[in-house]
Amino acid sequence: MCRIGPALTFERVWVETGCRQVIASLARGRGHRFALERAVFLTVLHRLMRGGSDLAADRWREEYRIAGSEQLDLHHLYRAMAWLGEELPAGAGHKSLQALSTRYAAPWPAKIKNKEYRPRPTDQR
Amino acid sequence: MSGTAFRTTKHRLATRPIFHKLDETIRGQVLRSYLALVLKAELEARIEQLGQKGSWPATIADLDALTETEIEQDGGRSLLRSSPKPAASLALRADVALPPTVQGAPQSDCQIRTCSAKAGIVATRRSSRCAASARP
Repeated sequence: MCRIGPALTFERVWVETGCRQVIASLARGRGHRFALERAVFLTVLHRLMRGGSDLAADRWREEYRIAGSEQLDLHHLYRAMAWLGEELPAGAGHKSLQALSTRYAAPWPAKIKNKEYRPRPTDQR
Repeated sequence: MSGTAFRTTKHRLATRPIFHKLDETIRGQVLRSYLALVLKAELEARIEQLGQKGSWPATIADLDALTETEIEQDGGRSLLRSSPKPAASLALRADVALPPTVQGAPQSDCQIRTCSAKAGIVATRRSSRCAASARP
């Protein structure tokens, strides 16, 4: 028995928000010999569903079908996290975050647009 | 907005301390949470567009319960999908089409060995890890 719901749902959101393209394009130039984008997706999915360490993510995925993650091992997840958090020279900012923020300015755009977000008095301080 | 993000991270995504030795893995952890928030917000927005309001814990639990089991019967192998629970149905309706309830199984698929004598069905789990059979 494999659990298929989480990957089935979030894989498409991952693609359509542009996350996949951004991560994949940034990873391409680094010559990693494993599917870095899949490793990042796996850990993000684990973050959404359960949360915890990379070790926990590696154990968690045993019951799940996540396309392209079959060849990944725990050390790949560690390397993916280190890659995500790499520091750039001062002033350059975080490359992944910059690239993502141009595509997806804030995590709540649709919601704010639909609800005509107005700051509460406490937010204006 | 930052207050909402903080509440979401602490409550719905259940943030708890994780210890890292290196600064880059700490930053990686933060970015991972940001990406998770992006996916969560997008799925919630899509559900809202359907005119529905889903509970996030129920969505997660019901998506988690959606399974596929490989069965062997009369020499043929198939994948049998469970029926989605209500919150999972909503999330999937907002997002993707479900695979068919029964479909032919590919060669390197998953796992558990369970038997149902009454139904005459044998489901096979070849290893402890999904698609681990594909590993060298």
